[in-house]
Amino acid sequence: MQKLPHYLIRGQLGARLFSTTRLLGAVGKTRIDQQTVKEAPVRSIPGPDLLEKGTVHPEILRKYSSEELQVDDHFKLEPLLDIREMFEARLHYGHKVGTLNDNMKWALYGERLGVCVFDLELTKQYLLRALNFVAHVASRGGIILFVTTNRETMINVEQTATKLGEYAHCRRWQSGTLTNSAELVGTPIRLPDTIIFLSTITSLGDPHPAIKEAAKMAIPTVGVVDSNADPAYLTYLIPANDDTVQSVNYLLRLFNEAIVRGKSLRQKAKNRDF
Amino acid sequence: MIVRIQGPCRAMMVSSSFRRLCLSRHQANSGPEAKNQTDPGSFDDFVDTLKASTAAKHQTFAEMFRHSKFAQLGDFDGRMVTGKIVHRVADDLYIDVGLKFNAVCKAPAQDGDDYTVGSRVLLRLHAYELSERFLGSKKDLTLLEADATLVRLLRFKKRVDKGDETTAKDSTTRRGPTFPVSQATTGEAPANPIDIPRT
Repeated sequence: MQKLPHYLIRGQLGARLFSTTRLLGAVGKTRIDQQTVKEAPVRSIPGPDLLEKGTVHPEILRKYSSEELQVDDHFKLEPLLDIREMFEARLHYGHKVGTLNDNMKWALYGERLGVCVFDLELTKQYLLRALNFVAHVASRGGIILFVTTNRETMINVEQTATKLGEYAHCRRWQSGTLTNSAELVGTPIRLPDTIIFLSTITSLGDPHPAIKEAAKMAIPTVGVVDSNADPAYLTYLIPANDDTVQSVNYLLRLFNEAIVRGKSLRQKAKNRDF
Repeated sequence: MIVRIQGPCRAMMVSSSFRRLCLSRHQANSGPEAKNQTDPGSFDDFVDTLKASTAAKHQTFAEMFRHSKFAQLGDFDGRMVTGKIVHRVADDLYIDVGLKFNAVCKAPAQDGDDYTVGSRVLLRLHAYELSERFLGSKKDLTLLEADATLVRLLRFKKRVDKGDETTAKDSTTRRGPTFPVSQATTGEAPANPIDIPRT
């Protein structure tokens, strides 16, 4: 987690964030480590200056978010992720180095005899983050769209989505589905609140057009990126194998669990309100 | 000295006879040379050390990968592997060998009908992935399949007409890679392909 610049850290005596004494760099004042501060969420709405700072340092807006968002793993999905299981589901297999996208080098454990291998410790970390995000979206009643163009896994993706009561689009993507929905579908139309890509590359080898469209419409995306995929424009990345059926089925099971937990939380809140 | 104790024998550790044994050994070792040895301290520390070594060791990904069949396989060209047919389209067999991609082979003209979905076959692997750099392109072009030659059928599975069972099931998830370790440098088939244990 990044350290905030000193003029953005909240003072010990509850001083205002942009107090002049801080800006002048007063000597002898202690800095608070943001990681140890666990404050209760603040009920007020942040001012425009704070929101502007938040675009660069989103951590300062954390305390203005709701209670569920104060914790990283609110839905306790960490025990579900086992590296041994991921290994047996073949999540660590990448393509060959000849097809490696330079922007995916960070996710690799290395290369062995021309074959890229994903670091599952990193995959677990990113997967946990993505699953929690999806669960949060589901708990807010968000629409989730599953997208893939992999012929072998297409049917499983559609079935998983249907069983959850969510949506899937595994066929040919019509250009402008999200950006030009008014013309193609009609108005008013509610667009998906998040899109999960089980594979970010189309059968032609190009990035899926829905990635850029979602970015244009400010729809957060979760994408399973393989070693030959471009991670650009995706909000939550999951560096893992997207070509093997076993790998995709494993991920679908986890997404299923995350969404189920999110929806059950929403149901509990509804029941409690009544 | 650390004694590896398994299962029900662990209860013995806290018995008084065992405690006396440990203490007597400690006293026997005391002397000028004992200064170089680490002082066992309290008996509880000794018990904790034993418990830690007999508990299930959490493997890191690095350890798992180092001891995987994939790493043992080494160079893919020429390796004899077993595979399971997961899909069949007319003469084309899609065989899962435990790697990222399936190998696509043609069923032989003779007894080709025996190669049903779910049967085990023996293959000679050539490549993990068919990807080549073509002139003028920055990245390789991939065919998304492994390259292997069909050798023979190992286990025939009788075809069950239960609709499309291949697409929805992941049949080889739990067992992991199913290829044998031995290198076949000469001849066509290894000595006893069926006897090679699967992981």
